[in-house]
Amino acid sequence: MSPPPRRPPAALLVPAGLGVALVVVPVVGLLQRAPWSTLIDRLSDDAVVEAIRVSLVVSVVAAAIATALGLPLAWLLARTEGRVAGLIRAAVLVPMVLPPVVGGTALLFALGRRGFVGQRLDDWFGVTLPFTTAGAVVAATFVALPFFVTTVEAALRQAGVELEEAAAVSGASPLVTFVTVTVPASRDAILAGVALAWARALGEFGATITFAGNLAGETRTLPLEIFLALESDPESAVAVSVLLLAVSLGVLVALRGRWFNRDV
Amino acid sequence: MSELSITGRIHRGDLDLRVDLRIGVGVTAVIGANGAGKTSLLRVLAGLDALADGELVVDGVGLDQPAARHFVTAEHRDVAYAFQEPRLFPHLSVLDNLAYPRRRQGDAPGPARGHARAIAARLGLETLLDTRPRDLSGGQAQRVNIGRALVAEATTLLLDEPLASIDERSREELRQLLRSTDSSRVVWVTHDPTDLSHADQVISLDDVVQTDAR
Repeated sequence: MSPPPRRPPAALLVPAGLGVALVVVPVVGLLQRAPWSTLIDRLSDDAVVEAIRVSLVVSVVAAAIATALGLPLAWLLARTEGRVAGLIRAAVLVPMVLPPVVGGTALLFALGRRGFVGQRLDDWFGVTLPFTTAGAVVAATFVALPFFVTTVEAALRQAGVELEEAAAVSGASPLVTFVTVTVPASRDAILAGVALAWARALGEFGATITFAGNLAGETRTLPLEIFLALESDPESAVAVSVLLLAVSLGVLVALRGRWFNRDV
Repeated sequence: MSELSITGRIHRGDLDLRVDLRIGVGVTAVIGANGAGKTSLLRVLAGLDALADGELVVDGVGLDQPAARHFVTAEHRDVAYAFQEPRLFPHLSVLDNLAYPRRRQGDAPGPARGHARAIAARLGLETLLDTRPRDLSGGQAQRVNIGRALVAEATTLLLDEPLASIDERSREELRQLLRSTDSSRVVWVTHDPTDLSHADQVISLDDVVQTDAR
């Protein structure tokens, strides 16, 4: 028989409890201040609806671009060894650790009207990114891409090349193998990557306001709307925050199988 | 000139195998101790690995000639390969696993599944066509693995211990099935002495192996 359970030592319990409190208390604070009776009214305010629309467009398009670019990238990184692959992996991860405002500044100097790429986009194609919805999409994709790539690369690496070899000896070219075997066999990890990238894109603030500005109906996403409303209408800021909190919890619930039950 | 010849060096991990083999039509059994290079030989024949030097010529066509920088990749070779472990596609049903090589050969879904059903019937898999690989027993998965290699009707059929996880009662029946395949050349890695009596040719890698100098 196993011995009766022992109480964990207080020296470990206290800091662990403080850690939980640090995360939970602000959320409770937000919920406790939420204007529940007028929540729907505040969320259907024209400015908020406009921000919801911008946020949805920007985050969905950003997640789609991150998937389209990130899937091939994750596969190449998972199947390649050596220094070059290591350097590229490090470079792709930079937006994850970079302060978003620095990312926005970098985007501005590269893709801005005077930037070394932006100037050519303007001259050759008449495309201007800063302070446009497209620019907000670029900023959101910039920060979201590494979340997709790391999630999917780890899964592809773990899956190994066994199935891809089985496809090759069945007559499938590498591209056909990627489409018919690699991607569908890793569907769950890819969906998790999409969810994480989308959630990150939805919450993006620093790079967006720096590169795309804060234009109502164009680049003013929900986080920017909250920032603005805090000055003029704190209740509305809380209402929008509750909305984003609910979405975040929804993403967590959708991913629960991956994160909460590690052996499933 | 229906012959497969492989000469040169197979290098993989710790293995360094020097080979000079001719494999004719019919069933060729490949035997050898663990680590002798049986699977490595199949991988080179399939095009999953390349020769370190030498050449692989099948029916007069060079498939792997490192000196000439010539290598025909796996998907362009007329081979089918049943791996030692099943490696079934987890997202496809048994039927679509069996149809997969036919689809890659350019068959439409209907005809490809027709071939798959015919193979499934010969392997006793008729009742499992809609099943996903994770719901199969080890022996059932191995039958699908064998079926996926047979359905391609490739000229060269590579089998890596195909009957190892098949129960004793079914082995003889499957042995006859593999013996009567349409492939003109079957390369059959085995540990089972009974398989040898079915072989037209036996190659022992213990005889040709040169131990690594390191």
